[in-house]
Amino acid sequence: MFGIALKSLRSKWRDYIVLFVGLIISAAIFYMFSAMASNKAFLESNSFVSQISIIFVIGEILLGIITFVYLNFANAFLLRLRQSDYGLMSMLGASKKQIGSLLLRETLSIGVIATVIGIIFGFALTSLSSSYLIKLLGVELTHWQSISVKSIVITLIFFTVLFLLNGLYNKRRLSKQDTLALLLANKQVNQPKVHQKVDLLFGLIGLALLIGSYILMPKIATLGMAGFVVILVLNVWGTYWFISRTLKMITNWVRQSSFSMRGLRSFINGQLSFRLPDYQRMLSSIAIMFALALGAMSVGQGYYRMLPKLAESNYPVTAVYDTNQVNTDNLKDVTWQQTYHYVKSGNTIYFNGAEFNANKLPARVPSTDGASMHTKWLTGDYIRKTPGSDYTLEGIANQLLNQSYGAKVIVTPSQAQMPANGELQSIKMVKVSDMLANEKALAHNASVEKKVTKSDIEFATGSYAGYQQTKGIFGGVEFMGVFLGIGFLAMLAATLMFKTLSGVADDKQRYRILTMIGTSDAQITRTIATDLGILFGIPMIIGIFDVIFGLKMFAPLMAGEKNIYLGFGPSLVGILGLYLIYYLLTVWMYRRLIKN
Amino acid sequence: MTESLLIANQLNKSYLSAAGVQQDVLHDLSFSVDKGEFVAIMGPSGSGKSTLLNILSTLMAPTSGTVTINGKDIWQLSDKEVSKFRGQDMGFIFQNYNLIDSLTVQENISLPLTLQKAGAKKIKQAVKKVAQMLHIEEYLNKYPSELSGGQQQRVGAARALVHNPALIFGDEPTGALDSENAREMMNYLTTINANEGISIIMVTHDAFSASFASRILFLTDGQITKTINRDNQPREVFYQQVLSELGNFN
Repeated sequence: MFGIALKSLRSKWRDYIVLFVGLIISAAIFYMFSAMASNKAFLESNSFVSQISIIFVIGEILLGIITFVYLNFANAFLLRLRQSDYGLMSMLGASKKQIGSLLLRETLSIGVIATVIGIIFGFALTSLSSSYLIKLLGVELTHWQSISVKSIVITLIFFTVLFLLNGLYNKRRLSKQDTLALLLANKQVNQPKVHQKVDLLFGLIGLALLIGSYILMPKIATLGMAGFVVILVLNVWGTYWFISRTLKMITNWVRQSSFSMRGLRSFINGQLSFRLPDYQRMLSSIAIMFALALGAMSVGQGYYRMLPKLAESNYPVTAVYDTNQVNTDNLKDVTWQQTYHYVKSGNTIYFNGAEFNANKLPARVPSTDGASMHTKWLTGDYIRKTPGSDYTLEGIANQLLNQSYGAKVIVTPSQAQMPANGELQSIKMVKVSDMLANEKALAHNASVEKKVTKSDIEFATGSYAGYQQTKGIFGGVEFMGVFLGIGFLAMLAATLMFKTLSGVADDKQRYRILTMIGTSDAQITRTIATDLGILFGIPMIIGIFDVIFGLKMFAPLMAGEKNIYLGFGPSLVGILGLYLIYYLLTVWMYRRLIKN
Repeated sequence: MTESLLIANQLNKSYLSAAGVQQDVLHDLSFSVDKGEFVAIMGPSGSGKSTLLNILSTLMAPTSGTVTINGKDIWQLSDKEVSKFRGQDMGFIFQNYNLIDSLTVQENISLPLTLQKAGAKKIKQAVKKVAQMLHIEEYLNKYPSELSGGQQQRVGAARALVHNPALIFGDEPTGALDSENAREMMNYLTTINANEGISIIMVTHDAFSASFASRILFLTDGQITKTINRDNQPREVFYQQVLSELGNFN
């Protein structure tokens, strides 16, 4: 039996290489993410908020589910490769039990070998990709390391368990098939069955569900959790029926129209209609994963890009300086600036209310519906009479005391009520119209300020300081969004590549006939590119639509609808770039396999 | 005097075996086929008849020698010209039909014309015409796997005919058919040869099928060892002659 196995390996080595490469990629990606998620020092040093590590755990679970799905595809492919050999063994007298244990051993050894190579590959990939991403995103990451013993163990156990489960499942499936079915396994044709009325009905329902989910997405804020579930169900079923039925409707229509009577259009259409029954589930999951990848990246990047705007919206001024050492002349387009005096006494900062009566103090307050913020100008009298209206001053007081919270503020009616023993000092508040245009000057001023007062930007108030603080926090989120996005996409595109290449044997015969009846090499290449282009294009287009509408769900998080597409453009370019590489690689490999 | 359509001149084909030994399949083989002629090539297994057909039909390159069709040396043509030649000037009927399983009968037959970018109307008319001639109109919307062997072979013939080629190659076109279907197929080929003036070169090991041809070349060890002409004999008489030749031959 070992001889047969070895012979089969030799004759189908191309298929095995495709399988192996796919498995190695998935193990490498899983390891990469696990290395990041299990690296506590890295997570803690890059995230202010402890919730970030929860996001990483959620990310790893998602990645685990996708890996699980992927391994199912890979093992189904493995079973398909071996089925006819098992049939042959069975005919030669091997018992189901013998064959079953052989299958289990084969699955496990392929799995473990691929996982080990994948982890080694993961080391290299992790150090390469992280340094590239860090450079690309301009975020600072500390405590990043490529080799993590914990992740090696997690990846090994996770993959071995999955392969074991898959092996047992394959074994069970195998034991239910008879010898003849096994022998003929690779020669069965899956004829597309056409039930025009049913297809039309479900096709239209699919389209309606998909559009319905798009209509509901922007309304998520009012619909709540139940709405989210409804949207998810509508979108998943909509996608599935759209791909399985609407596309079938379209291929039927093309088949009957004269559109297909030119060049190899009928052939491409035939390929698509033949593939659909076999590909519909996979294309649906890829469409959804594509949307997840693009969505994760768009939100991550969008949020990061929105930070300056968020900071400007939260603070009434750009910066507050505790010293006259800072010269604000280097700032461009200053729209407002004012100097106020204070006296420090223990944990309390005293301000002179009369100064605010003369020159009102700006504060950011939410509008009545809570949807936006606007600046309110406060007098000293108003602040004294209205409890809780002194938060601008509280921020300033904490900055002056170099602490994140806990400072006490007292606004006195006039300078006479301020403590006589304290030194009268001054602060300067300044607002510029464009913070990012002044970023260099603001950084310079902050460093001058720090030299004199030893106060950290972490505790400072103003939109510039707020921006710097959140940049630190959300740099990690953006990094993870991009990392997850790329991980999802790399795996899903590999799945599609894998599936397409595994069907090459059937297609080879079709292309051989085409060549014999006068199709040129260039035409064959064009046909392959179009055929695979449609396969890759379907989930991509649905995924892009999903994200265009899906991002509207993030309007509350992104401070309004106008900001939701901030990260969409660059993410789309990145994702499409990667997807294109997979597509071109698949076309190239496919072309080579067809030609051989 | 009739004009030559195909001239094969001193064709040689040799392979290097796995053990590194050179094996000659065709040896200095020369012959010609006239326009409108129906030629059968017979010979035992391994005599090189399939190799010869593959070389004549541009599917395989000879080691040396030339093949001229309509005055053009087909092995001097560019890839594009070869494709054009296959698509426009020749039709091919295979023993195993070679239909594309993902296309309906109609689409399979249309392929040579859609490749030439013919108009939809012209394609429909041409498909209808050959489908009527070969009695396969009722299967046009079926897939090859839904048809019997004989029906599939007729579809293969329809695809070979639909673009009015000058020359049809047949590689054991009746090899997979029962005697009734084989007779029917050979009658079709004879009809299109006589009515449309299409030349036919067919490889077969079957004396019955060969007896429909006007000339038979016998191939042994890569060389033509005997040629017989039907002249004006009835087919049944010619059949007997082929059988007796085969008897001598073996």
